[in-house]
Amino acid sequence: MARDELDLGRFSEPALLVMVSLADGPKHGYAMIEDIERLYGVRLGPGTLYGVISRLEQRGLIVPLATQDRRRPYKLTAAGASAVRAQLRGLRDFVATGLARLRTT
Amino acid sequence: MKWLLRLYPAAFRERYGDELAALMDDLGGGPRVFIDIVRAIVRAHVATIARRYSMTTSPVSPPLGGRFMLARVGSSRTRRVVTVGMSLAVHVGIIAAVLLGGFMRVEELPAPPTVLTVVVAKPPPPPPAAPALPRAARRTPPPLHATPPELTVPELAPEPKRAVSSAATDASETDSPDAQDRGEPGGLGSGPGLGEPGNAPAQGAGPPKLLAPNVGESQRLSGEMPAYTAQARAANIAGAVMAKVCVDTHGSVTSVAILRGLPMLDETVSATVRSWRYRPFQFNGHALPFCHVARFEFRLR
Repeated sequence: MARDELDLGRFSEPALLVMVSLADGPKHGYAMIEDIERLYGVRLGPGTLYGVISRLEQRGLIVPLATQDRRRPYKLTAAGASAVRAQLRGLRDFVATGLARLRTT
Repeated sequence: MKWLLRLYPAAFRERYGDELAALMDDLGGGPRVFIDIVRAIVRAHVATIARRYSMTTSPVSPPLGGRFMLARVGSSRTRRVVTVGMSLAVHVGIIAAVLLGGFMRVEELPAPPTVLTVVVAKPPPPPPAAPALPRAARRTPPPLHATPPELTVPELAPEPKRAVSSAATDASETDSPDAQDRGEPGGLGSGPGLGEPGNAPAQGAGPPKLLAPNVGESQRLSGEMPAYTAQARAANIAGAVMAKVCVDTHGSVTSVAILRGLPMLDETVSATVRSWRYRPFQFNGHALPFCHVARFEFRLR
């Protein structure tokens, strides 16, 4: 468990945000930025976003779809979906443990 | 700001350049976007280098699916090393650019001085025309004192006017310098006029050009440098004498006006300089009268 938490820490946060944003359907860059801001209160810069996109795409966690008017939507792959699920579960356990500890002190 | 995208690694640019440009159109500019893009460009380069490097050193197989996190851990050290290296390179580059920019600025500066000298050379003509006479008049006393004949001639004139004893002659003698300073029109007024006979012809031929000291000096053909007088040496007089030397169209010295003098040395300077010969100053194919300021250093050894 501790090992997972450590890996969780290394998992770059913007990547998780992007994958969560794509969890309910394909989106292009601008839609992701708006969605993430609404979801999490963080506005990703275009450079950061595309850094994340290129990394996730390389690892087969997301795939590009056909361009629509210069804007290219991205879709979460099955591998990507299971990776986010694992990450979020790990996070949930982490959050639960943290909150439980706070309650006991 | 989209020109920035050209700085991305070529592969990244080819794959994402268009859509990133479209996104930037949607987002608009701003300093935050600028910084974000610059940072992302550096990271993209780091990632490209790190990937190439970790392929040969890291035993971790190409990441697939959920294992990519492990792969990232494996390459994180090389990534950090490369990041630090890139950061250092970027900083060195910026410092070098600033320094080089500074040097280039400084190299541009020397140009104005040459322009300035041209500008300086132009204005002088007006001043010599007007102040030449008063200055010459003021500076003539030394020759007057040194050449008694000139003094005695005007001295004889007032004598009859005042018609007094020999004591009065002494008085008129002490009077004379004052009278010159005030420019009184009395008989003494002819004193400076006599002392400056060469100035008139030079001006008649048109106002002489004032040349830069080194230019004037280079026109000189012959003539000795003024030597110390025994008196001055005995009196330990040292320093610089500055004289305005005017030369006619034939190369002869027409006047020597002491601009800054030293006691017991002005006279030798003007006497020696008067014997100098110059190459006529040619301007637009015509010989022109000219003046230049010469400086004479007298040093006791």
